[in-house]
Amino acid sequence: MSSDKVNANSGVQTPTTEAWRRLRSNRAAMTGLVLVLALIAVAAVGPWVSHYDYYEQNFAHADESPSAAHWFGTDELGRDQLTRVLYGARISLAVGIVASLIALLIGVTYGGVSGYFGGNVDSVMMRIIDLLYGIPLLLFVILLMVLLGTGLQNIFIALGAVYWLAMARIVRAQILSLKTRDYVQAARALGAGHTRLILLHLLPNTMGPIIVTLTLSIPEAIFAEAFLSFIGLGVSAPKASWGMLASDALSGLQDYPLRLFFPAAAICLTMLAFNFLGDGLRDALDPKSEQAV
Amino acid sequence: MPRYIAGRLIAAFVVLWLVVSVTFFLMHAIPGGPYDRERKIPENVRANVEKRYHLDEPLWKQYGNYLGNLLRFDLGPSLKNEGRTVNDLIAEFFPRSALLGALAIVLALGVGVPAGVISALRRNRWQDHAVMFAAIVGVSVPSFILGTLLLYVFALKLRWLPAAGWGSWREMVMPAIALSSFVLAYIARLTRISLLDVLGEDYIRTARAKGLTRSRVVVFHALRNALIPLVTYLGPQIAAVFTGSFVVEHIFAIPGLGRFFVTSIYDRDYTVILGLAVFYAAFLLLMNLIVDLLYVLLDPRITLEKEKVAA
Repeated sequence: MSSDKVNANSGVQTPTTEAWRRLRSNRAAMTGLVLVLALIAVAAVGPWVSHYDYYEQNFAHADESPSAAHWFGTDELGRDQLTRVLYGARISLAVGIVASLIALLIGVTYGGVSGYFGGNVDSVMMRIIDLLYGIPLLLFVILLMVLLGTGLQNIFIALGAVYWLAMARIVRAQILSLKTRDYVQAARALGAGHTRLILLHLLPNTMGPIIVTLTLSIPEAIFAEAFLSFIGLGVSAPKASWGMLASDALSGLQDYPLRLFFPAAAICLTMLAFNFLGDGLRDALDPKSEQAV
Repeated sequence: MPRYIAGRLIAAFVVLWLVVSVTFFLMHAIPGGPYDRERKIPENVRANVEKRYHLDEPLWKQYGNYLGNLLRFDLGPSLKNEGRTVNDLIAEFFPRSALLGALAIVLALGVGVPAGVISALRRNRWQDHAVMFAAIVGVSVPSFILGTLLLYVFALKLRWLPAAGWGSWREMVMPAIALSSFVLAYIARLTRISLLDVLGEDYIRTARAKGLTRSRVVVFHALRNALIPLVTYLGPQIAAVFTGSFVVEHIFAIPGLGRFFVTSIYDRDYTVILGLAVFYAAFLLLMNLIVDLLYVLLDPRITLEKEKVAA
């Protein structure tokens, strides 16, 4: 992570280089970043390098302990656990990232419109958000999953459709304070339309809080997916997500504790990595944030 | 104040109505009825069953009936638990979940607040780093992972505690810990931030300057005010505890409302799912309302916007 991104010899302190410098000096955040990158690499390459397929059954080698052939052992159908955990990484990361991006899209649009137009539009839109905040969100994700049925796509939709509230609030607050700035007035005086003002002048300046919120919503989505899979509402068999592997391990916990250990460790490590990175990003990009809890 | 309470109550009822309506239509939008998965039943039997549960009536009429019954706190019959109403089932299962949830909250406050205080008073020293590291681990380990790990170590390996069941305190220890971990960690972080904030205030310096001991100032002056933000966060955190109970009760085989909810999802018992969703929402709205009111009572600086208009 050396100076390839920072133009070291320019000596100019743009907000981006300043944020990067702050992030680099934060050891926990850098550990998180390295872990996240490693995780993405493993998820991308892992299943492809593995000698087995996640659905490949081999009853002659069922319920094996870790060995040279099966590093994490095998499950009751003789499937290679390492491959299933690696494949689970793909699903968990995909859920985390795609669901967060959907939430980002909805949240930024909603918050952007609310903050930009202000006045009555803003009060009505924010009232709606206040009302929605009163609803236990995970409950609605569960109901949506019951309605839509299990499956990866439906998890994206259910999570994305529900978890955009925080993003909308943050973007709205930012836009509300930015839109009175002189540079925005100047752009408007020069004839820039609503769309141009929002997309080119306002949103780029809210990128910091948006990135922080996005990073912190990824572990939340991964957690929600693991939770859903755990109660049987997640991806469908023979696909394997970490939550599902942990749930499957529960019945054989007495005899095969390692079957729980690997997916559990993977979930915890991923959540930790994103939380460390998110906290660090908030300190770096959004130092005045009130929400530094 | 009465105007504020009235406003909050109206908002709570609007949310509740929204939850009921959305859930009702979601449940009825599910293709196929609750009996489709079972063996083929004769057409006339099916018609009888549908008539009994009013499933043959037009949707808007069913909706009207449901709302009408709801006003009398009647959540209707269960489709899968023969002869039992949703009210019955809630009365049976909820007290256990509530007890467990209360234990978890008490544990979270009892450990989380002191941990946060230590962290704030020892800012940037090893105690602070240790507590904050533990806290970030706490919010990163999902309750179902912690629950299964506890189950494995303390019930299956060491055999100190029973693996499942409900009744004695020994059976409540692990589920309460698993449920509280997230909230505990969150409360520790919140207490630390909030206390650091308050410790920078002028009146703290004044209190110290007039010769009060550090511990007296922290306990009687700073902590009182630092805990106010905590109160507002407790509402949503209670929600976290109660949704966490879905998995924790499942893992420890506790006959509570969370486990029953998950079972009802497996069974596609729509009236129960609908009824429990309404119940959960109402419960959490009530908690949030109580927390909001407490907040106003605790902090006299907060003026309510409604009252300002009236004055």
